[in-house]
This record gives sequence, C-alpha cells and structure tokens, in this order.
Amino acid sequence: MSGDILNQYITKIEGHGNLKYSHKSGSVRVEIDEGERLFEKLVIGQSYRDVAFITARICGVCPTSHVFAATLAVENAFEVEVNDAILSLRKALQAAQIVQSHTLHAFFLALPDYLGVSGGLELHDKNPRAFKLASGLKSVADEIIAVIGGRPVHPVSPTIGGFTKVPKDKEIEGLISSVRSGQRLALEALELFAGFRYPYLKRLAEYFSLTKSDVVDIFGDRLISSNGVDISPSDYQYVIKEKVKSYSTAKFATHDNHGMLVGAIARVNMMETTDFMPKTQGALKEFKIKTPLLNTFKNNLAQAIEILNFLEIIEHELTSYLTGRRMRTKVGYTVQAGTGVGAVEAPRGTLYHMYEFDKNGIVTDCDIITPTVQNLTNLEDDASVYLAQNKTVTIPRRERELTMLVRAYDPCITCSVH
Amino acid sequence: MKPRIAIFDLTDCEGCELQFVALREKLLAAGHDFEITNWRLGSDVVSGGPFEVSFIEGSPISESDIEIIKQARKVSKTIVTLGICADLGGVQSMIPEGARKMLLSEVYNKSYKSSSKPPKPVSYYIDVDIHLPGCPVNPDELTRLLSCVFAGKKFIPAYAPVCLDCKAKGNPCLFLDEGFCMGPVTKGGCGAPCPTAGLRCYGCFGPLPDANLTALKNVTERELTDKELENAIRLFFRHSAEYKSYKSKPKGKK
Repeated sequence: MSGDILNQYITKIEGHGNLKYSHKSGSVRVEIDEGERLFEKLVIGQSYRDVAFITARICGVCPTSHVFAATLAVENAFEVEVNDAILSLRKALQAAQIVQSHTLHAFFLALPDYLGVSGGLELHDKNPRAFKLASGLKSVADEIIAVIGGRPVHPVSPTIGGFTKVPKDKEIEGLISSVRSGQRLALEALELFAGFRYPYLKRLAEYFSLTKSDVVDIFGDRLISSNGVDISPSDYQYVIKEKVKSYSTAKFATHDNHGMLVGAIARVNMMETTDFMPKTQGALKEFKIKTPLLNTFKNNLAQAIEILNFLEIIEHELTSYLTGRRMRTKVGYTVQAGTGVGAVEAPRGTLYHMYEFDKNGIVTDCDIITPTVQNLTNLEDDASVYLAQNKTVTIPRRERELTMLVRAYDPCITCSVH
Repeated sequence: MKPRIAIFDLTDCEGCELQFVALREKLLAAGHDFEITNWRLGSDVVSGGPFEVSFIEGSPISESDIEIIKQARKVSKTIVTLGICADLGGVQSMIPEGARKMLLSEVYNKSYKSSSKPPKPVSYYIDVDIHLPGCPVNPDELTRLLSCVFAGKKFIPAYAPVCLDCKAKGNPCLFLDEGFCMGPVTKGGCGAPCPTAGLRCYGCFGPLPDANLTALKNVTERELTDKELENAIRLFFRHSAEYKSYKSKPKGKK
C-alpha cells in the first residue's frame, strides 16, 4: 500500500483533483486538492510592469492567456488604446495558445480514452496517424508562439501598449505557410473526432462567451450568454459569483445560483454556422456536425472544430498584419491611478483579471476568475445528470465514463486554485 | 525490466513538465531504454517504484505534496528537482509565511480550513541530487540532463550568469539601457530568451552561487527604491542561501 500516495488523483488532467460520487443517490462532488498559491495576494505591492510576468505563472498550459488578461487589465486602467496591427498580432498569438492547449488536451489527454491506450506517448506505436496529427499541430502552434511570443511556453514579447519586439515580415510569411499546412492536419483531426462514439449525456447549460459585433471574439467587448446576459466584461463581478466549498481548494462559480459553461463547447454553441471561417463551415457540413452540442463529452469535438477555425483566424490576422497599413507595434501610455479589467477567451473559456492601481502603478487590489472555476458547478451537475441518464450502464463503465467526463471538461486545476 | 523514470508534480503551473511533451520524439527515443511512469499529466501508468530517477516539479504545499516527495525519496535512486518551484519554492513563496493564514481567510472566507504549508524548496524536506532550475526549465538543458542520465554520466548545471547567454545572443545590455536587470546575479543556462525579446531578466533560474546581492543593491540605488529591489530579488531568490546571507548583513554596511 505504500505506493498509493504516488497514485491518488485523476490522471491526464491539469492539476490534482478527484471525483467522488454515489451510484445510488447520484450525488457528485469534484474534490480539488491543489495547494493554494494566493496569486491575488502576492501581486499586491508589485508594479504594473510585473503583474503579467508574475500571473503568467498561474498556468504553464495557458500562460499566454494570463499575460494578455493582465496586460489588458493594465491598459484598461491606464486608458491605453492599441492599434489594429498590435491587435492582429495579439489575436494570432492568443489563437495559437488555444490551438496549442486544445491539441495537448484533445490528443494527449482525452484521445487515449477513445482509442483504448494509457497515454499520449503510446499513440506513437498504437495509432501513428493520430500521433502524427498531434505532433504536427503542436509544432505549428509552438512555432507561432515562439516566433511572435519569444518562446513556446511563457511568452516574453507581449507588453503594455503592444510588443517589445515583433517578428520580421519574412518570419510572418513563414508562419502563414506553416499555418496553412496546419489547417490540413486540423481537417483530418476534425474528421477523427467527428467519428467517435461519445458516451450519452444530454443537458442544456448556460453558455458564456466574449463577443464583438455579435460574433465570438478572443478579445470581445461584450460578455453574452445563451440565457440573455449581455454586459461589458468589466462588470463580470455582477454576473459571476464565487462560492467556497469545504472539499475544494478551488472556488465554484455560479450565475443566478446555477452552473455556467465556458470554453470550446460554449463558444461553438454561441456561434451561428455562418460565424465560422470558410474551411470550418465546409468541414462541419462535410462531417455532418450539428451545433449546438448538448453533450459535454463533445467538448473534445468542439476543441477539434476550434483548432481548425482558429488556424484560419490566425492566417487571416497575420495576412491583415502584413497587408495592412504599417503602424507602431508599441504605443505609449501614462501611469495613473485606477481600476482595470482584462477579459480574454482562454482555451478553457473566459478569463478575468482585475487590478486596482495607485498613482505610481502599484497594485492595491486584485481579483482573478479562471474558466475552470466557472465550469466546476456545471461539471458536478452534468455528472449527476449523466448518472441519472445512464442507469443501465455497468458500474465499471460508468466509473470510466465519469472520469472521461472530467477529462472532457479539460479542467485546469492549477488555474482554478491560483 | 526497463529502469523506471518517474515524474511527480506538486503545487505549480505544470509548465516545466510540459517541456517533456515538447521533447516528443526525443522522449520516445528515451522510451526504448526507460519506462516513464507515474506521470499523472501524461499517462495512466503507475508504479510504486523503485525508480532510477524521479523528477519532482512544483513546490510542496499541500499535505499530500509532502507525503509524495518523502515516499519518492525512499524508492528513487536519483531525485531531480524540475524547475524553480521545486528548487527554491517559486513565485508563490513571495507570500510572507506569517501572513498566510490571514490571506487565506481573505481569499476564501473566515471559516475556510486549509492544511497547506508555506511553499518551501523540496530540499527542505528531502535530499535532492540534481537541481534543474528555471521558470520554466530550458528544454535543451532538460535534453542534456536526460542524455547524461541515459549515459550514466554526471550532470553539471550551467555555471555562469545569464549575461553570458545574453552576450552570446548579441543583445544590447538592458542593465545599462534601462537601469536594472537581474541577469548579472542569475544563473544562466536559459539562453536569455527574455532579454532577447527586450524584457529584463527576472531571475527565474535562481541566484548564481555566491551572487553578491549587496553589490547589486549598491549599483541600483539610484534607479530603484528599496521596496522595488526587494520585490525583484524576492520573486525567485527568497529561499536561497544568497538571499539569506544578503539579508543577514547589517543595513548600510558595504
């Protein structure tokens, strides 16, 4: 038994957590056991210049998202407006972060369940085609992040007002050709994920996403939901309430006392068919994928849809950067006292950073709400509905599928306990 | 049976173990000689040991974090700390230890109970054989370490400040241009990605052995307030011997 301590958590998810449930009563608890790092407190007293560097350390899977949420919050507080060139590069970088994270999750963490292998590395021998797709897509995403962001994990070039350094036009042209070959892989990946039989679950949730001009947008200026929420992201605290649970070091968020759903499946469900990029629209038709997706197991399918859609968006943004009017890639700003909110569509959903600064730009207050915190309540609800809808399924299979459900949510526990 | 390499993650961001994924084919090649096990993020394969090498990522904070490393030490021949969190506690050790309880009740609520401990280096609890620093670790250094392990050779970490890596890249000096950079007092081996992108060094590889922090204070006195310098040093150096010896010197004495 001495080895048990070395093996006590759900594998292939980001962070330490477990699902406890009763087959009889159908009650479910998501128990999170990640140590508290207290990021909201450790940035207090730090300079506005350093908050993005520090809060990027919340998560090694999606550090770019935290860099942008923190940077946008500072810009919001100092009333900085960036130009289209900066916005295009930022969008391409953040979209690449989503592709990188989705690829890692969908292929290395979730796919093994559907192919009956123990982990992503085993795919190399047991399903070389899937491994090649995963490896190729991850290379493309890594390349975009390394070229625009400065390195593949924890990007270093994004800064307040723009970028400290931007790639040469030739490098961007190189990225565009990599992105195009990535799209071919993404199309194959989507076909693969469209062909799986997902466990049965049917339940409508309240989906949330940032939008701009009514279309889902990484840096959108409105937060909308399928139940009719339509607010400025700066007002997120009026809509999202966090609760502390005795069995979890992560908080659980709710809206109107019920769960909310953010991330790939929520964004896909908040889009009309015509909102997708052309190749993605074609693929949805060809592979007969119907949205909205009401089975959260299909979040993995939604990730595959987004991998293709975001690769198309990256191509679009990089092309407009190259062909658009040349602009400065860093704009000036003045430090001033104030409060700022930065909201970004991260791989797992909407991420919020809020900072209050004194007149010297020193942080006096901070609040961070991560996508996983927003999803935890809905995960518990989905799990109990799954149990109720699958009473005839054998217990071992139910246990396996519940673990798959947790994985399908792609929880980032390290983010959720920040 | 193939010798086993185990990967354990404690409380952290998981950015360092992702560098294993970045190795991809190189890691698979390693798989011919070794079995990779107990990698919670990567696979279901688990074992109770014995392990040829155990990589430990993250800082021990929760009770189970501490139990895991104690057990890992018992069944591992070599313990490697992967990244600065395991090496020196990481950014989370910025929180003053005495304030932890109060801050927990502010972030959660008054009745919130936590059994967690202030973040410490892994070496506070167990003996560590090899320290691979960084936030995150440099994949090239990780590859070099793995090659040493496979070849049965001793791994010698880089022993020069970040400035050496930075000069090799031909970068202008941010210390001279912007008045401050942690490069001169920080262990290199990172390849200087931050200064290359125009961002000052934050010291994520930890202090160069015997780094003279008092000298850093003297030369930056006009550029930084005491508080700013203290924040910059504490971010990654807080649990280092160099920081302790710097703090123990009487104030104002040069």
